[in-house]
Amino acid sequence: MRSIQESLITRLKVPTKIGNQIKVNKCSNCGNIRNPPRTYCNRCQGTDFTEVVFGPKGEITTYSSSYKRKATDKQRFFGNVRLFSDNGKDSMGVGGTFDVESIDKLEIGQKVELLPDERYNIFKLGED
Amino acid sequence: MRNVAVVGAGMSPFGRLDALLYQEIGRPAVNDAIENAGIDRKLIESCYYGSCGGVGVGHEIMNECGMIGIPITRVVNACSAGSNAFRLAYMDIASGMSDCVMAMGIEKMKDVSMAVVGGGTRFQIEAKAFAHGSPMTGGGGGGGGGGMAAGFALMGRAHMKIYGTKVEDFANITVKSRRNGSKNPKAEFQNLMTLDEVLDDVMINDPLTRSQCCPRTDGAAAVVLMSEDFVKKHHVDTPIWVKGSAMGSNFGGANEKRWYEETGSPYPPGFLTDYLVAQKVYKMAKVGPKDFYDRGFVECHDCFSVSEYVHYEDFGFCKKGEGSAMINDGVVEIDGDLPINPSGGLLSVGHPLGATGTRQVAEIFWQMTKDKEVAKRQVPDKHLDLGLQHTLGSPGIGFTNVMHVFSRDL
Repeated sequence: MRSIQESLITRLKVPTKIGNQIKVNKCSNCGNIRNPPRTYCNRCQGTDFTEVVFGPKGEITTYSSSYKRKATDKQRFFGNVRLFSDNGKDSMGVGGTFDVESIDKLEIGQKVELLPDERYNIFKLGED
Repeated sequence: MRNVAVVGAGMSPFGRLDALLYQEIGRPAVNDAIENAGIDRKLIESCYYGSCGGVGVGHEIMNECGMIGIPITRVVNACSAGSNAFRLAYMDIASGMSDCVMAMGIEKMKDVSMAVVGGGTRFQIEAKAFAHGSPMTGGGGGGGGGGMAAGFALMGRAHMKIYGTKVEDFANITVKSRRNGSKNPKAEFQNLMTLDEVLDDVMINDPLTRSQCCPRTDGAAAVVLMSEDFVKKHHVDTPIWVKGSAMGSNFGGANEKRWYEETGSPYPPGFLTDYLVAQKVYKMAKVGPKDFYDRGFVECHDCFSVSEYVHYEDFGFCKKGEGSAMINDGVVEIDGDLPINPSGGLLSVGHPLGATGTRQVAEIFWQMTKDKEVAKRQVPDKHLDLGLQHTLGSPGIGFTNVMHVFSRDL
């Protein structure tokens, strides 16, 4: 018999990151994308979903650079990416870091590709 | 609803006040507000105070000020905690429950835990890599989530791309802020800065340099509110009337969130919630953006230079993409067509989360009553008919936008 606590858990114990793609739920009732996936839709409270796979292709919607507290700190570049579903019908915003050496390499609208990484969303620059 | 007026205000110096107890910061603000109002403290029937870090500190302060025994309510609502305390005080009187109420805010930022701003750092400069989650939601994935500065930097970048905004346009907001802050003896930063100095400052999150980020400041501010009946009964000669009070929130399901979910970009680029709350408060106060050009001024939430910039647009003071002219042509200077943040704003006065909202109301009250507190930064007469106050709490985490409109006329 499940404990009361277990019965209240709504996080789905499924891997959402699969290689260089992200698997999420799309509400069958209202179309809301739920990332990371839960057992219910936070917009209409529906519980019927279809799985949608996003990535690896996307485009940069904005970007910035990390603060370097010490001169020896690694400079990182991060931002938001509009990631497209593999069927091309949906898009989803995600944050991540860019695998580049200089902020000058980044531009809004630039094509990027999600790299395989279990923990982080890391993007390499894609080809136009 | 009953009419409500602000009748007095007080404020501690803002800055790094590590050596002081909460009571030592808050008591002068409360006592000054009572003295400013010219009333007997026994008239105060209840108190609402904003504080994100201090449990029970308002009770201690009110005890030190001889007002224990009255209802005292702590309000925790991120950067809008002080504004929400004021709003509750307003509602307490408007509802007929009380006739004289104190709204207070206090913060010692070392006691505020906000993972999203990297707690414990002097400036809101924590911008780490993101995993799941996002800069605008504070995320929290393995990369540690993003800081507030990061979110506003991303918004600034998007604005630059879409509208051709320059880094100088954002930086000029700090130049203006420091100019006003230099006339505010209680501001944390009272030094002037040139455009080059702002641009050459330490880079936090491109395009935001350090001086374009508000400091984590300690401080307190308090205001006294009264019903119309009490204003007449106690012969208050300079009441400033609350003509509008509005609040909004957003997280999950609302349009702004949906926009973000689908595009990964901040609302293009600004705050939809700000726009909606502005419409609500304008409607209640029966005013529009143009009225503030003609006869008003503004104290708004300039936690970052980009923040103040997008407020120009979201409040309807200019069209999207036209904010640069507001700052570069001097429109928002104290002697401009629409004075914005004559106090120096959060960028120069500082930002103790719980105190900022009440500090803004205090500034508006002093400006509209031509108090000696603002003698060096007095907004011209023609702009003293209307005041607009605004805070923006936890953008992206769970917006808490609060706005008030004030008038000298009932």
